[in-house]
Amino acid sequence: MNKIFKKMGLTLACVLMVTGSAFAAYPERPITMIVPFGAGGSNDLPARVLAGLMEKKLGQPIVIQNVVGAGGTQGTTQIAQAKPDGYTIGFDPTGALCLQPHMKKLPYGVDSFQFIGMATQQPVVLMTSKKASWKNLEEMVEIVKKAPGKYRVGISGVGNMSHVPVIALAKHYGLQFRYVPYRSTPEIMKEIAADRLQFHADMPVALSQYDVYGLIQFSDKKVDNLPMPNSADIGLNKNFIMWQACIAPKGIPTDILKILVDTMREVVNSKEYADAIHRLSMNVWWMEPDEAQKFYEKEFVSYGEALKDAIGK
Amino acid sequence: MDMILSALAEVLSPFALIMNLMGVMIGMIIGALPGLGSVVAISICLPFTFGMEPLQAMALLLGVYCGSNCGGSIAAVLINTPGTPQAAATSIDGFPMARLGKGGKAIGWSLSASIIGGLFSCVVLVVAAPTVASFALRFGPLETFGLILMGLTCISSVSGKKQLQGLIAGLLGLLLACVGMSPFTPDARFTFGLYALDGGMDTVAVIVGVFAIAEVIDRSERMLHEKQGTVINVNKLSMPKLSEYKGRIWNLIKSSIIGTIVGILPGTGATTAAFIAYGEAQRSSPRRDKFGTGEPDSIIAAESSNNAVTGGALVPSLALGIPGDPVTAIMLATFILHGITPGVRLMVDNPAVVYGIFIALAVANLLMYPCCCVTTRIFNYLLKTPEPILMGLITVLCVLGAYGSRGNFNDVAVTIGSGIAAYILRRCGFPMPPIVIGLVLGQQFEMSIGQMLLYKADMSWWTYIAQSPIAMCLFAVTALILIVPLVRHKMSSQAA
Amino acid sequence: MKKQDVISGILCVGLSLILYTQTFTSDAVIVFEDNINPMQYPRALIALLAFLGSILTIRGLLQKEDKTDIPIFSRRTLGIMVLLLVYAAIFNATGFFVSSVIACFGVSVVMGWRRLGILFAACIVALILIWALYTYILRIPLPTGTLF
Repeated sequence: MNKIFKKMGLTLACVLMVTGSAFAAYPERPITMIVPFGAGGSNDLPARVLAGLMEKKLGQPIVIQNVVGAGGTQGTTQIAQAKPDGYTIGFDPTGALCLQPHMKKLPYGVDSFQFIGMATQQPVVLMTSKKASWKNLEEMVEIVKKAPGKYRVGISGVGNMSHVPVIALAKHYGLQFRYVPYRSTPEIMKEIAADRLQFHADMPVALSQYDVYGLIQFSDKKVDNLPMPNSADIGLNKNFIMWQACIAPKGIPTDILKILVDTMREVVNSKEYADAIHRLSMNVWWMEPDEAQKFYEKEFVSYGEALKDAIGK
Repeated sequence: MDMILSALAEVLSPFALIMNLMGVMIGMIIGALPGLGSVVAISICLPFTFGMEPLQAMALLLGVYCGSNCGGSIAAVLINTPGTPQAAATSIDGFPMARLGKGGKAIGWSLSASIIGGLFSCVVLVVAAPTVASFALRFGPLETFGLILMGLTCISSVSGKKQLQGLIAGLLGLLLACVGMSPFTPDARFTFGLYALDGGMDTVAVIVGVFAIAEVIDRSERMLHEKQGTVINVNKLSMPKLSEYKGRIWNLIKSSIIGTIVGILPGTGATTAAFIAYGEAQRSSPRRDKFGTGEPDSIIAAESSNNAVTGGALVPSLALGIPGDPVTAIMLATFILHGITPGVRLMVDNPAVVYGIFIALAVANLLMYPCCCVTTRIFNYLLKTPEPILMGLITVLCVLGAYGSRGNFNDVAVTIGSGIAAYILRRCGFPMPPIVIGLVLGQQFEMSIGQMLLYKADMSWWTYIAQSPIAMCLFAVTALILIVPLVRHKMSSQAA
Repeated sequence: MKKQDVISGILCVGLSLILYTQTFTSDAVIVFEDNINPMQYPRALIALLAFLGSILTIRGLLQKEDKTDIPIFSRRTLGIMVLLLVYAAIFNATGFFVSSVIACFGVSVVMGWRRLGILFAACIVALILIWALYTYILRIPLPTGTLF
């Protein structure tokens, strides 16, 4: 029995010595990128593209870990609470970072993250079936005004980016929709195809996948490949742009951060990245980390207001 | 016609065949690891597809899809640890068969039922995809509610003589599904203040806990009371003889149909299909009293239905661009990455790709046979380890698998907690399948009820239901499923 | 009376009472219009659970004793349960390797394996293989604690 304990002790000591002396150049082992949504989704594919290109430059694999749950908050919490040693980073969209914290108490907040950089952005687009009886925004408003409560909007989660922009639009025009929650976008699209639902607000990628067209994009600048009015055109002063950023837990050492930022900057500004992202119908958007951090703080506040606006009568 | 031929040529080219085979093999091994299911297996292979042609990528992914279904069953039969959630129904009769030394037979039944179910759904896919897809469009919240209600009645079929305890177990499963975010408000329910429970109880974690961990705890004591020499024998894969199919063909066809239909409807997956088919088989099989002691009927039902989901889920994916289950969602995403736009126009713009997928799916189903032989042999070799060490390793593998499925730390606690609770419930006479049925169907059930209320608005219930003949049909069938056994029981007790 | 039925029936009723109290805490900061009360459905389930639990208890009181010679809580089963709870508790803190070695070792010992040297070696080798499988092939990161 004693012999065994001695052997165990010896093995432990050796291992401790080896790991203790390992402070070589970053990165020296695989990096984990946490994506708070399911594999194959519109928040996961850009992460895989980014990770695939970044790992070639860093020399170590970047492993995508999908941590699913509670509208993206479970994964975001795991990013916020991870050890800030540069080996755990995250890829997060607007919703989980800016909207969710205003709706309930979460173990993270606006100051839990260190931004590495912005990756993509696209405006939220209100979509409707190509077979609908309205052909553009004005017609839709006319028809819906006459039948309050009759037309239904599919939302993928209460109070998230598919819900709040539509409420804002409805308030602007004085329309009354009914909001029906579903568990995933494909289900909503099926309902739109069957004409049980009439509207859905989502990222533009769905426009090419399903038989729908866009009525309005919620941004103050027009995006080229989206032929529809934007919110500035109709006087709605609200921006609902879904951006996705690469983030790290606060407290990451500055030299490691610099390596990550430099790599990401190179990748995001490269042609391969742009091609892949365009194939996903998204737009590339690079922002330096400091700018991104300030932008995040502003967004956080503005979404809080948008939410309060949407609820208040 | 030449479209079909060119597709055939591409899918049967050496590289595509090798990819298919590798996919089936990888899927089978990952499927056999407890907890890691088809979704994990496919997400792992996703990066490898980046450099390939679209059809070759699809051959790989379809292989993984089919292989993982089968691999999960091998683990379920040999070590009572469902490798994938949908194999949980297989372990109910598969493991007892293995204990009796007929493990190779059980795997043989599981494999043949899987292949037949998969090919059946493939035929449906080829012959009737667009028609069937438009049928799927008519399933709104009301119809989905009807279907799920029908699925929940399987709790009663599955409980056999222990109806009261089965119902309670089913209720516990439904309540477990309520833990976490409410579907209609941003509230978290039943989390007792613990943020960790906001994500809800992961189905995989609970299934692994209920079946595998509870079994480990149970074995530790049962081992002492058993005679020596009742260890699982070497199990060589042995396919069932044609004569043994007699009396079981209708079960096979019915379960394949159930699996295909469940696959077609978005929002339900292979686990739902397996349990609905299991419940239906138990209700209608002449050998229903032997379920749970090693009756092939239940294996046939569970396995053919969970593999039929593969073809069924591809129907809406290819015809409408709407994925039928999480795995096909990833496959559609692969299309996008390869520059092919899925959607209603896919069959018109890219018929070669679509035909290629049909053929690749059929090939994948057939390739399951050799891969299954190999995997079973590997398993037999591994099972030679002495039982205590094996149990220890299984415990660790299960917990790691449950963690790996969602990447959420809390799933470890959920697995172990549900394992301990399930052990206690098992010993008190509660059947385990109803818990899983309640959990798997629970979220969609509640969601459908809420959606129904929102759709109905001010209409009366009768007007609302009368709008949908499908829903009325489903409710009628549900009522029959509940009433017929009671009537039968009454009549038999009167006759006696 | 059938002890198991009575106890499980009482536990069900107790559980439904605890869960019922939980249906009243709601820190909803935001309330959207045409919201559905999220607690109605669980309350219906809980009421049904309480009802069935009481029926079970009553039935158990009226039935005969059921003899099994395999105890539910024996030294072994309790040992494994405690070990599993420890595993869950230390999984995050000490990383998967250390906690898994402890779990694997412990479960095997409780199940009756006495040749500890071989067991320890087998555990370490198997866990290194599993770690390699997860990290390099499956590419699922496993939590690493302070040591590894």
